[in-house]
Amino acid sequence: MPLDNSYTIFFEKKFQKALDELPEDIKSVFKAKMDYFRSNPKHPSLNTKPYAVSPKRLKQLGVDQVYEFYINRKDYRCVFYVIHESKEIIIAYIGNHTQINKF
Amino acid sequence: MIMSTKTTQKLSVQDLILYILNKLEPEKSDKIRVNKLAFFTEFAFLNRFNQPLSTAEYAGIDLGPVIDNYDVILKGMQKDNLIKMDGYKIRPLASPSVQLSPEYSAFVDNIIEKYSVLPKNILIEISHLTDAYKITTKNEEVMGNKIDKKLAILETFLLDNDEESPTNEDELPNINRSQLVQYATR
Repeated sequence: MPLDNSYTIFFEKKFQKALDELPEDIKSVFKAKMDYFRSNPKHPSLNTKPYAVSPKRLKQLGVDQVYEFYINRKDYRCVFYVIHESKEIIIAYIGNHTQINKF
Repeated sequence: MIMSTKTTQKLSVQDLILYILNKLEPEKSDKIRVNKLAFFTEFAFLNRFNQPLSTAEYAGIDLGPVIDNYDVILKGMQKDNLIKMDGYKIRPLASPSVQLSPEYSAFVDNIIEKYSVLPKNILIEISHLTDAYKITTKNEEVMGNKIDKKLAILETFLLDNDEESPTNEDELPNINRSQLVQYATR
């Protein structure tokens, strides 16, 4: 099922704290990227890519698919989950690879 | 220890055009392609290295992003015997006066190679999709303005993102649905 702007975007409350801790320039780019993301999750400037995640792990997470898009030069990325039936997108985390364990 | 050296010297707009022309096959050597490759290369370079590749400036017109005043620049280059123009076709008569470092030339050559094989209409279409162009032209309502090179930070899609994701699937965070809130622009 293609991703489009009919999906509602959610994030966990703790995500706001992680967002606040990002460098200012990354925060600014993230907000710009999210504007595109809301209009089209597969907007070309996002370079959205699916993750190869096993069915077992997807079931554990309670989602259908996992994607990511890069915020800036591969250092910072945003990983999000998709639940097609309820048309939900859940921002899982934003940050570089070493920051994922904070979530 | 061997240290990598990077040139800090920016290419002039003429050198950038010559660099691109010298990489193109004759049948692909035309005004539109040169303009598109210059823009893609410059903005990908800025995005990757956080510094401009050249002194070229770019403008948003109905054909998409192009080198600002490219017609005047090309005519000047022809007058100086740097290029030969035949209608839309352009061939180089000289090499760039500045050499890029191996790291930079590898990056630039990769972008040129990646996009030069595409048909002109696709290059135009892709260039219309860039954030820098959309923002500059206010979604194609205002033409002729110069494109702010700072907008290159948004053009991640120009880069190759073929690297394997380093994230192990077990590291993907679990979500507590009771803690979810809807995202809204603040």
